[in-house]
Amino acid sequence: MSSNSLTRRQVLTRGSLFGMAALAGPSFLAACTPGGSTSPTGAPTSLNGLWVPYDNLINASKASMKQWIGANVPVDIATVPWADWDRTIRAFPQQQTVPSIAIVDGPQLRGYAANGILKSLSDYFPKADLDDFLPGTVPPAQWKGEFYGPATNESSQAVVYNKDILDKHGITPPSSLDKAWTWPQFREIMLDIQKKERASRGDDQFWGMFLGQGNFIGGGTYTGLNIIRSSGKKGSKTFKAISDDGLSVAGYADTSEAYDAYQFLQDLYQSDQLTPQSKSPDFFYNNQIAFWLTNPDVAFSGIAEKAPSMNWGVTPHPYFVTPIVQTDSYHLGVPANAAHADEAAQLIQSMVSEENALILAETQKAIPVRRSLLGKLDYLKEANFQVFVDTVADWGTPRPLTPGYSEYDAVYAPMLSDISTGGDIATLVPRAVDQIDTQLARYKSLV
Amino acid sequence: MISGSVKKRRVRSPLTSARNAALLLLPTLLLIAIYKYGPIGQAVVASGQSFSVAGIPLGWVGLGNYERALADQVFLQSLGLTVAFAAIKIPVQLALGFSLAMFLFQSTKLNGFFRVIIITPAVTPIAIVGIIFLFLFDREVGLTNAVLTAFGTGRVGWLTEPHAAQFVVIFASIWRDAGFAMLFYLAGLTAIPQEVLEASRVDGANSWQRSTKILLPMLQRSTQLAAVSTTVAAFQYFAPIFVLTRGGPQNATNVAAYNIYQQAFVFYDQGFANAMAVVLLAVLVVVTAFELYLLRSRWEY
Repeated sequence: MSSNSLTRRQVLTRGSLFGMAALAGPSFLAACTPGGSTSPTGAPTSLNGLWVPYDNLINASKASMKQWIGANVPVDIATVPWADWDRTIRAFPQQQTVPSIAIVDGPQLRGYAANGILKSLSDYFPKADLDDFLPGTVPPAQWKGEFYGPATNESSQAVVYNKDILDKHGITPPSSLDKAWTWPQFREIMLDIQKKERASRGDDQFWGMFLGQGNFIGGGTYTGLNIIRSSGKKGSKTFKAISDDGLSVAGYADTSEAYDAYQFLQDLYQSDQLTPQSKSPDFFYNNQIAFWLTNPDVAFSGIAEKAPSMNWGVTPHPYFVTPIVQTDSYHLGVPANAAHADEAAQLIQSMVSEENALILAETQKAIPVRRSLLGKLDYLKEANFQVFVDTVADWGTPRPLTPGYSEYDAVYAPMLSDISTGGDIATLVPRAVDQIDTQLARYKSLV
Repeated sequence: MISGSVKKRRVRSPLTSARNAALLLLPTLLLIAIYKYGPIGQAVVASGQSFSVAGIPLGWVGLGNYERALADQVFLQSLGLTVAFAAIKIPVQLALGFSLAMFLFQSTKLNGFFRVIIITPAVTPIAIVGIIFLFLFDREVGLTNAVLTAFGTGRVGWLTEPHAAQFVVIFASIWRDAGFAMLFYLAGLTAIPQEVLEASRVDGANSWQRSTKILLPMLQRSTQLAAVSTTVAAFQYFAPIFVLTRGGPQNATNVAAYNIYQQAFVFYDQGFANAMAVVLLAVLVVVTAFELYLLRSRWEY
């Protein structure tokens, strides 16, 4: 036996040890994965950030971080798939290592705050800041008097239209909010255009409008709920959509006005066939749709990329009784168990300072989070963008404020989809209301 | 002559000893225990607990989650859908698998080509299958409706009408898995002694009689394996539903696996979801045990 050979006993022992190491390896590696690196003195040598895979937002965020990074430490940004975003954030309290800073969805913030997932940033954002942030972005980020993170920008919704198609039919949509169409007016116009276009094209692959960003038939909670809420008077239960404590939709989502609006939504898809039963907004880029109810992010970047030569315009969001456009966007937050939480909070503070919030908005050509910046960005004064800005200023309203927004949205959006695809409204609405209230009841002890 | 000084080597612990065998098997057994049975044990433990919406255990609830699950209409409906789904999928898939195996058992020059064609869906990632069907069955831009409208029929809401969506989901599942059943039968067919088939020909049996009276009974083990595998696949069917319908429209495709996912990762009701998972596992064990008994082999060759 050579000296390099192993005895059978050694083979067995080492083999078993190797096997044990193989089993323990993944856990060991997971434990060693850093959540930002630290120097021997305890000071960070870098911070880790968790973003969503949205290049516009990532590039703008990096641009707005430059100043802070120059004076402090680098920030490494990783992304999480959209489908795992909420789940990943919810799992923060059970993780040994979490990012120092994370992008969170505005409407979900209350839930994260209620569950102790995020750190309060009230100490870093005094009243002067909160007063300057656009109003649609602040209430969702507040929980029991504490502020949990500013928005990166603000969203808005309006109707984008194909100007060439409308010119052909002699339609000039309004561009000021006071002349906005009501839904019945809008419907009549769409029916007329659709009928004429289908006749001249000789097929049924032309529609009056596309509703939302394409995630859900029926527009989802973000877009579809605008239609329902607008059917109530300002301050009414229909307009509010959820109880003040955010724990019940019974008596809010099932009022008689809401039922009428659900029926209107269904008619748009079914009897009028004004909207395709498909999730692809490409119809608009392909000149198969006259109007598209969407937000500025999607409209500007989508048209620039997919239909750069399109001649297009923007008209205010239609309404029934009260004009309303649900708002809010991506926020910045610090996990409660993050290493270097103080540095992360200072980074966020810097990213939304007047100087950097301007960069944050300008880089992604978005509406800035600070109202003081509205007059400082030239692109906001372009006719198409102006409608979105006016809308936020006058009609902007947060989505339903509840710590259980994730659960609410998971039931409400499919309900709108089922209504749009022809389901029985009288069955779907009570079932969804019951299901939402059951889910929201789990938050009672936290409110 | 061998010197008496040459020591006879004493093997104290041969590789075949039970202790060494256990030692060699230990890493594998540990892997299986930790990664296969560990999660099942964890699920059983979690099913007896209540969790906060942030996934923090709040305390023991005994059988409370099971009581909730067995009284929950949505879960019971999803279990019913799963059983109905399996009841359609299993016979159709076995019949299709057997027919394809019989077709490929004849040796032709194109056998290799057809085998690849038939087995390709089975090795295609299941999420990709979902996306393919999304493009095929979209109401406005799907290929299926493009063909139908070319023949003058109206558009069908394949993914937006409850019964049509159920059809698409079952069709996608059978299309993908037919190749697996075929492989089981093909392996079984090659193991059948040629003498038996030749004897049946000499005795004047036609091809139908050969298939039903000789081949099928002799393929009982293949049928058993294919049936059990298909049943397990039917009970676990999730990814195409996640991509295509998300359990909709109107809960029409909300099978148990998707419903459990929704409770666990959308509503974050971990205890309830685990109780439902344990109930689903119990139903699956009962169904497969029944299949194993019903399809037990009565032939030896």
